[in-house]
Amino acid sequence: MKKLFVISIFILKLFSCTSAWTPAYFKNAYYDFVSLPLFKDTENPLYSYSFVSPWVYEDRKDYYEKIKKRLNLREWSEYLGVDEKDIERTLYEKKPFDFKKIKNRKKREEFISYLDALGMIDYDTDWRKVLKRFLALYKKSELDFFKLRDAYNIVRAYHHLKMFDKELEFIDSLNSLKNDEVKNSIVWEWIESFKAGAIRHKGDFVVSSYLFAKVFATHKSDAYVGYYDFKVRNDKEWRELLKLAKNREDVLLFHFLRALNPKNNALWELKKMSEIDSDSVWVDRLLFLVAQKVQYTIFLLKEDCEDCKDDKKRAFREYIESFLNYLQKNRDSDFREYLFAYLKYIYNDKRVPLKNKKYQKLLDYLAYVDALEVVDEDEISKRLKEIEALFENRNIKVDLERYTIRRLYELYPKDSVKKSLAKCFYDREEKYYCKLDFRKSLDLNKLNEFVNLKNKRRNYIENLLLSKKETDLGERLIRVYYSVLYTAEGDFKKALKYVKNLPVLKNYDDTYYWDKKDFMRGSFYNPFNVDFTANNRALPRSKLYTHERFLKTILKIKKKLKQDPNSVTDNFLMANAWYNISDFGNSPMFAKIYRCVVCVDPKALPKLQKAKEYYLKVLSLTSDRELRAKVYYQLMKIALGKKMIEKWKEEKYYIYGDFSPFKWVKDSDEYKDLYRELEKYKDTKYYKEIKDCAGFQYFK
Amino acid sequence: MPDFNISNRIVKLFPLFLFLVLFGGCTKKKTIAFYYWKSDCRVEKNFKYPLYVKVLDINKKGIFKTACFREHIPVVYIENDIFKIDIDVDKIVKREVKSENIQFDCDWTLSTKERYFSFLKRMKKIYKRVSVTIRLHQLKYFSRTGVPPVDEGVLMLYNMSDFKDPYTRNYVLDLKETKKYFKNFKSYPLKLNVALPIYSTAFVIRYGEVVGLIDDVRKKDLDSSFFETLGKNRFRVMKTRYFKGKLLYEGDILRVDEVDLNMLKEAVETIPFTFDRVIFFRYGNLKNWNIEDLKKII
Repeated sequence: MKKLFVISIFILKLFSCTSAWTPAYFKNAYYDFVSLPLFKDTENPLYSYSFVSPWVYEDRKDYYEKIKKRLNLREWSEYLGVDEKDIERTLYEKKPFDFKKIKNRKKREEFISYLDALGMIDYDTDWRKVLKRFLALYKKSELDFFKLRDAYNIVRAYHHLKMFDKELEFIDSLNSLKNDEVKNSIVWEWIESFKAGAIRHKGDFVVSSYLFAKVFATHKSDAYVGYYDFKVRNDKEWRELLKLAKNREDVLLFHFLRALNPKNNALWELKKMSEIDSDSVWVDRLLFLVAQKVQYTIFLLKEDCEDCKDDKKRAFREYIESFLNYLQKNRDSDFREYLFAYLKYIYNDKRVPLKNKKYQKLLDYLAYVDALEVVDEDEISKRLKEIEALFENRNIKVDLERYTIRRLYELYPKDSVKKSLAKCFYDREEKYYCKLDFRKSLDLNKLNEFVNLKNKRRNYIENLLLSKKETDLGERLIRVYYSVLYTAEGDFKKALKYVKNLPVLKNYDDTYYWDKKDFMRGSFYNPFNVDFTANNRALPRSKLYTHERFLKTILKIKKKLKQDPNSVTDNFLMANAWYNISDFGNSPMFAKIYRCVVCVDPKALPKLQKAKEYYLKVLSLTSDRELRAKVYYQLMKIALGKKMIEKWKEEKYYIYGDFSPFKWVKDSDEYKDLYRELEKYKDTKYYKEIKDCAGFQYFK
Repeated sequence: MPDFNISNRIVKLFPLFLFLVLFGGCTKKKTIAFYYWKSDCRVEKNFKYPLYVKVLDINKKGIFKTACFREHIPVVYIENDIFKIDIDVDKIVKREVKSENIQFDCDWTLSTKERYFSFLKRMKKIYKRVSVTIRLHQLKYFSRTGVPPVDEGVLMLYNMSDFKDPYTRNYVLDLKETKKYFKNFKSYPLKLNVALPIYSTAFVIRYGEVVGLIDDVRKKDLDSSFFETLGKNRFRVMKTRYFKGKLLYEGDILRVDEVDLNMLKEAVETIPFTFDRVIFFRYGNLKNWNIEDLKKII
């Protein structure tokens, strides 16, 4: 496979573009089957999604920052004879250093002075002072290792102070420093990059772009700077730059750098480069990037472009087909042939036979997954493992797994836990929502299914499904969820079994709870109390009312009701409890895994109905006017909740603290009857207490 | 019978007096000003209109000083994310901007509102008059986004659509979009002035996507031997070449978004609140305009 295979990762230096011009939407379900690791087990994150990732600028920078740091630390550690970790703590984390570790006195002294001067460089640096300090150090320093680093900081300071003539003059004077001891230091790379920048600032765009191209092509630690600052502004500069080229490879490098600018037309540059030398490594490198963009465009067209205007679809097709036509004429290597076959397959399902068996198998596998209609996990596991064994790179394996599980997601039964787990598995970017959706989707059946899956002997696919942190439920959380779901069902005995003696968590961060109350498994309100507000939270916060205590109390009330079904107080408390553990009450966390504060969950309806049953029972049992008034008011709250659920089913609206629900409920017959009843109790103390309260006013 | 009782006459004249007190301000003459956003500090000698000069750009990468024209109103741009990290913005501003008036330009969000507003409160103690830029969404949803605790806001009436959408009508000024934000406008609890665009931009569309923009391009700049007219503001590039510092490829589409006097006039008419100053964005584009014409629109 052409020259591509023999190039090391450091020489490759493929860069991509600035983040400002990436597509607005990057679908997280996409896979990359045209990346470099498919052909060589090496990683350069800058190869991936070069034209399509919104994070490419950060990725590129981070990647080189890491290399820069690693090489820098190695130089320091070898020179001072100390551990890299110690140097890292001091240079990068500004932690104190044990200078005794440096055996050589001179080195120790110079290191102390250097660190002292370096401390002046911060977010808000006074570069004049820095310059002065490092110039003094540079003069004084006797060790070239430190002299070179002082020189670098001097260059840096000149640059920040926009003293470019001085900077260039100083850089030229550094030739004498290029002796055996420091000639191979990466610091020279940084100085060269600054030199290119200074020339740019002095107005020579052509020479500086030439130098930046060289930075890009040869630097190990800051090559991305070369890409970033390679700039040509007009036809004249471009012609002059071409004149500076020493050979054909230089010309191709310039075209390549132009192509990497996302504002430019990489496909046009690729075709131009192929006319110059189709076998060049630069052509292969660019092919990867364009192929990724084409792959992305195909996904976009097939999966996200239903509402696109016709001319947009036409433009996408024109782009894809233009590349495929180019590839068809340039299929002179395994990798180009594969790219053509793969893109052709995902674009219009056309299969093109390949000579290379490995890539043929890959395409066969993708086609097999696409054609799946029945879930036979054992067979799929076997085939997935076989295809994964062909590729050493972890990212390829991950993409194969995501591709497979995404298809399985479509095939798993609607309400199965496996469907939810599969969604989380392939949904790469939205981890938070996937975690949220998974937990929200759990009911007793799904939780049982999950526990069974956890405890059984699993196949490869099942292991993958359970491998995500987002869907991992530990023993404690499983118990919590069981207790919550059983509480919601009204099976308080079973719920208590799970919540009893629940180990106390010491660290909030260890949990996946949504808020502090969930973490503590309790409510700050008494779940058996009601007040004049709809959510019963107007009363002062009490000491944490734990789930366990709630269950024990409600079981006691239940027992009492069994003995005396006509106990007014117990029926009333029971009604209050059901209302309070619904979404509308003060302690929903006892019966709900996750509550969205701006939406309405129709699952709250059975709880409201339970509460209503008990309240009606109270009305049938008591003639106490105070209590009756209270019950009618509670029933009005239930009517409000029911109306909100009804409305939610019709049109999903979000609750943002307005009072529309009060307006809706006023039109319902149920509410009107209840209000009329309540009006009959105007003489009660309770009515007088609530009549001026805001909550009641909205009801009126 | 004529009423000679003085106190009665005062009572009768009181509504007129009240009217004059309350609405007398309406007759205050409106003024114009300009934003100066470049760092080259080149401005016409004897330029007699106020300039809001960007003197400081505080972002996560560092502080960029462009302090010039000290006699004008300094504007400090602060990247919103700065308020999410531990940087002493107060210290930087206090040190760099010595002036009585100051304007802050920060597209604050709900997550930074608290820190930004408390920063503004502290700035109020240092500077005599503090103003801030306000985006349309911050005006419409002010109950949620909050009202900055300053003396004055400047509503930015430009850059209001999605520039990445090739079908955007006019990214610079889209009156249909503006009207949506002004619908149901009642009041805003802060004195407001207005910023209007006088710049133009060409968007480069390639294979159905906006891939770049070229600043300061007007339709009249497009040479018909290189650009084929496709529609009202759309042109096709006929030959690969550099144009205004950007490389254009054969087949690229250019959408030129610009404003004219009529659009500016209409924009002013849609503004649902009283204001006394229009600040044009930006001075650098003034070469394409006649200042007297601009004065007439307000």
